[in-house]
Amino acid sequence: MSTPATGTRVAVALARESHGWNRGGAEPLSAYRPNLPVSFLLTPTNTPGGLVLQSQTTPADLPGPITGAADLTIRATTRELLVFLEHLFGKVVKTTPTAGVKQYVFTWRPDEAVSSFWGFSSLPPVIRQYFYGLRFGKADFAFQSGQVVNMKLTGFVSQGSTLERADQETGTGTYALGPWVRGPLLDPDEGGLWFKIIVASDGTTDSTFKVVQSLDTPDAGDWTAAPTHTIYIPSSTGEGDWQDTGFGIFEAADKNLLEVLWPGAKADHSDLVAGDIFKCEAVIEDPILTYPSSLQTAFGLQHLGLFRRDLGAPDWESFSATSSTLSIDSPITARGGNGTLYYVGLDRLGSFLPTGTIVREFGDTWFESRRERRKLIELRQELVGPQIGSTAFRHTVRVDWAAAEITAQTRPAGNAGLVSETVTFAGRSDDSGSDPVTVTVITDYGFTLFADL
Amino acid sequence: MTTIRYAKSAPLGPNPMSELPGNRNVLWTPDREVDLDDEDARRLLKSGGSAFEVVEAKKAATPRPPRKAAPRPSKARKAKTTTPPEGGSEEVA
Repeated sequence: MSTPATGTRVAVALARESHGWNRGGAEPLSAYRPNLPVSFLLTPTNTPGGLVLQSQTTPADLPGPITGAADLTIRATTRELLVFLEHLFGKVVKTTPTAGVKQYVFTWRPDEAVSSFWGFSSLPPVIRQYFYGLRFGKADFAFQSGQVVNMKLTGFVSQGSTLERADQETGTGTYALGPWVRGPLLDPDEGGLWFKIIVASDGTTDSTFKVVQSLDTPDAGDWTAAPTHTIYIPSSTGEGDWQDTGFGIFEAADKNLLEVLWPGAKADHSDLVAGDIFKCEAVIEDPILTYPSSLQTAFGLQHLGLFRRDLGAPDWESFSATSSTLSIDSPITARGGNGTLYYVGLDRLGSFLPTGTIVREFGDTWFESRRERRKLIELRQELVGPQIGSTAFRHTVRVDWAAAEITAQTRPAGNAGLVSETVTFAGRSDDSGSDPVTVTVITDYGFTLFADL
Repeated sequence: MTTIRYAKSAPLGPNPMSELPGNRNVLWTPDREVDLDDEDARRLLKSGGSAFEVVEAKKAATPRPPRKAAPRPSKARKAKTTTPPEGGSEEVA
């Protein structure tokens, strides 16, 4: 009897792709404790053929795109926020206000850091997978004083694999960038994949390798029988790219290759030595995960502050509210391609649309009058957490709305109790494309920017 | 046993925590060194990448520990002469 998967054991770990979109990287995996529900698995879809047979039965569906919705809700501390804010906003300016304190200011310039994630997700003990080319398009926050701030991230996974990452089994080569594998293995019961370097690059020449699927160490006959592949390096990039191994699914109605990637240029491939053998197990073992912060050392951002003023007014006015939300929407468009059912592109093409709400006791008509007069306002949402060492700084997340428009406002008298006012607002820009919203994070964490990976 | 050090540059930030089997969790601070079973160390290095480094592999002549055997249905496969594994040379300095 097999043991079924349970939600208590779900694991998610992410790292930024420093080898390029859909290509993994060298950054250590950071694990996150997700608030359930969480979804991170690639799932094939069916496309109905649309035919109705004269027998009044229906033919089989065509295999549709393999879609990977990525939904992750995690506790937002200043440490956990940084990598995702950089991913959504693009531009980060880092300063050090005092020793041990770092300040990061995020503005929306998606072209400045076109980052993506690779990672590991599992529903143990049944399914474990590595995935590549993950992009998030939306982050939602709910702020309330005295409560942990959670961040809900929504996006897509592009590609994945249920094969273990490669280990160097034998050989004296020092190549450590790969290989990486992705796609489905047609018959995992036949064992893992073994890669053997036949000719190593001298820095300018091509390298060649062979692939064998085997449950145990391949013998000389296995290697002789296997075809030789040349490491694929498109001339447009000069860097290794994904290429077919011949062990994926290539059947009549389906085509999903099992591909291998040897990251780096020919100079990097010269670290290979002829005879080096790399092995990818057919089944992924549970990794030992490292969480970026521990429950003992990272508390939430529990103090909520809200401030408002008319556009360009000199002074902020503090006001209280029972809760507030922030939604950063920087949409991702999934793009299919030819030759695969996986997404080949996740493009940040949509408009940047930051929105928020404030729920408060209806005590004045400040928002109502601004809405009626269609006046733009400035807002600040500020979350403050623990002190950083013995400095004057605290862990802080500040959201500055340079220009916000009140898009909806309701104040229904629902019962005999206090009347609650809900204000919905959206960030607005001007002809010059000024930033509607800027996020500032103050933390003790020395975060490596994507550009410096 | 293998001694693992959390790298000084702290690529995961201050105070990350590794979840080891059997609820033996390790709270890392820069330069902290911890003795781990060889198997745990190997798995930690695989996911932790540049965050960790091997300080010392005690009894360095010990070959790579056998990987956890994944349950697979037994399937008849062609008989072959097994070549001896060429392990033992992959220890990181």
